[in-house]
Amino acid sequence: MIGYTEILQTMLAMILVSMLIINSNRAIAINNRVQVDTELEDQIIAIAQDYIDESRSVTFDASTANGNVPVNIPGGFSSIGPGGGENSRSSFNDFDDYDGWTETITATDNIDYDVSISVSYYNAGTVTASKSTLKQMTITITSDLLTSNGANKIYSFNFIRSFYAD
Amino acid sequence: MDAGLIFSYVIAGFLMILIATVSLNTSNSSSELTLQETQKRKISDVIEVITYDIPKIGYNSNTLPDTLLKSVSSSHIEFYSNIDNSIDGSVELIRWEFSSDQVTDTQNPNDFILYRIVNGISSSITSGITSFTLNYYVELGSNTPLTMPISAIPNKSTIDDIVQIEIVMNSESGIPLKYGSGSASNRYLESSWSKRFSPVNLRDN
Repeated sequence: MIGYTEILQTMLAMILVSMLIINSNRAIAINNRVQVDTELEDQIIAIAQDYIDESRSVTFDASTANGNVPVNIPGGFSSIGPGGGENSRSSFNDFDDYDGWTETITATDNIDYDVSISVSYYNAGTVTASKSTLKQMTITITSDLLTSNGANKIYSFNFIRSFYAD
Repeated sequence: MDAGLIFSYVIAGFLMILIATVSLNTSNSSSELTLQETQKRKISDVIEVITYDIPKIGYNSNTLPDTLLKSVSSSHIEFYSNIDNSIDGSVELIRWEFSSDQVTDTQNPNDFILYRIVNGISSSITSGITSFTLNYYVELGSNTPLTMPISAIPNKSTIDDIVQIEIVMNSESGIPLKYGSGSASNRYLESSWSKRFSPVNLRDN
């Protein structure tokens, strides 16, 4: 029995070391995951800001394009959505043309980000079907590399634009 | 000596090496995370200034300046703006330029100085920037940037057509993570950022 004592002690030590290694590897894996997620999430925020900036550079409504102002505000505003022939970002000329827009952006890190945008009229803290002087843009971005419980994480960004703040 | 004891010593030696390796790897991983966080914080300050300046191209309280963009290239942009929001409406000439001047106070040989020059007064940004590329677009959402060079005089009309400006910036940590001896085993933590700006004053271009 004396000869086996050292072996038993060694086996116990190996079990302890194995647990140490497993926990250490888990910590390293979490660190790596956090590093990558942080980098990708920064890029997602930048992409959302790109769309917000871009949508601010066009007019609030189709009826206010070319410097016009409708007689009735907000009744004279157009319906949400792109007009005829407005099927690309370069042809969008007002804020709500981005409604329904979907696109896959390949960033400089060669990672694809799926973008979808919806625009609605907004009033009293909620989206509304009736016309108002506020519009809310919701930008939703996902990436196959950012997952949680097996599903892609959804990153949503809201931007509210006012006709009077133009 | 007892064979069992010798065997135990050998196993103990392996275990100690294993523990040392695990400890080193964990330490390196933590260092990576810390370095990344530090680098991100440094770069976020640069991003804050860039995102303050670029959307204000051509900004003034009452009227637009005659010239919005003075000159552009893939490594610099020069524009007019009332960047200090002065009451007298005077506009400043702002230039962002990524130079080939190496940052001397870091161990990283790949980082260069980014200059922000306002009316000739230069500020050096030494935050570990390894590349800083500017792309220009004449259509919103376009995937085709303008071909460089587009200097001021012969292609003035092209400059005036620009509606979007994209900045792609890569940075690395100032100090390396060492994975062995010698400079070849040094690894610098990389971080990249890109953003496409749509300055409001360029929307009529």
